[in-house]
Amino acid sequence: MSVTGAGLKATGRFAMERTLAPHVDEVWAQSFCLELRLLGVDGARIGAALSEVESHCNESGQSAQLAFGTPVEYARSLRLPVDGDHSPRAVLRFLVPVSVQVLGMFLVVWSLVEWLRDQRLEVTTGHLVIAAAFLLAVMALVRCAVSVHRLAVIHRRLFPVIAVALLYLAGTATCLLALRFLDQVLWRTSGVWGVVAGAAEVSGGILWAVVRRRPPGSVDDPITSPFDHEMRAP
Amino acid sequence: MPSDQPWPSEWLRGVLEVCVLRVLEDGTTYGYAIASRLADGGLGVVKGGTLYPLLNRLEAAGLVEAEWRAGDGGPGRKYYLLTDAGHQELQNTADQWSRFTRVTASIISGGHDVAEDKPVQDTSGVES
Repeated sequence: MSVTGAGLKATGRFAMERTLAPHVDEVWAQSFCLELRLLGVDGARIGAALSEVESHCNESGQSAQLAFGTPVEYARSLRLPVDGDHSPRAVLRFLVPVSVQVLGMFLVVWSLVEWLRDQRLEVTTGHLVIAAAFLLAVMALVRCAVSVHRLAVIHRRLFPVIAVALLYLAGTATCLLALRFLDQVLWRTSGVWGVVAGAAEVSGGILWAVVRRRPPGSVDDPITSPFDHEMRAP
Repeated sequence: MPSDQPWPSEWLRGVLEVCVLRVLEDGTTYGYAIASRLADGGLGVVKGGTLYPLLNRLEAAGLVEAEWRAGDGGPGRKYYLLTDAGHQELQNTADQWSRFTRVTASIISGGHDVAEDKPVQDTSGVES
């Protein structure tokens, strides 16, 4: 009884919860699974934990809320083993190589313009501050991955709008202030070197992403019934 | 005090593990059956939110093993089985609890001769 993304699309919201735990309130079950996902528990363990709630509720006739308390607290109290590859932090960690590529791309474009104008490239304190702020923002995002995921799921309509607006404002303000007030030239060089450095950065970022690529199938981690697991076991 | 919970929760937290191990000593069984046995034994209602995290901890500690079995017309059940380490842990903890309850009963009733039930002090590393 594997419930995959395709299955969810086919039967709509709460499809997985209704399939695995028909006697458990679907909102409770969804919150429970979500919390375990956010903690980085793999799909097979989530399915087994939900099935045990289902078994208990069915036999006792109690609601999940009465027997187990709030889904978030119960999910945390189980202290299930965490699969590092499926934690929100691991997912967001893949932003880091992409960020390096983006910075390299900006460097290539900027240097290319100066090179074509036959002007020297001037690296100022402001440029370094902008690059550092960008990388710090990405690292902060990775560090706060669980909270960011939780906000994104709970406020799925408002969160993208507010997050994009805040990032845009903060990024623009940082760039404007850094370029306006931190204009001390640290280094002058030919634009061609900037193109080379930017291209190397893009290539390095791509290589990094390839090296950290997940094996095929590891990204797909459906919540499954424990009986699927038992049947697959030798 | 609610009628379904005759004992203070602080007491239950301490004794629940040994009680669960004792129920499992009688044979492989599943969560709801354990909760029912404890309730029938007079411990009161042990909620799933308390019982299953404990069973998970026992499983992680190697004191119990678990396997899923399909139910007869109902949902499957996760059955728990006491391991050898679990039997040993039960024996040790049950002995300790017996001594502890004798000591506390004696103190509460005003008795004084409880010396033989005092826990064995670990004197290793203490200079004589």
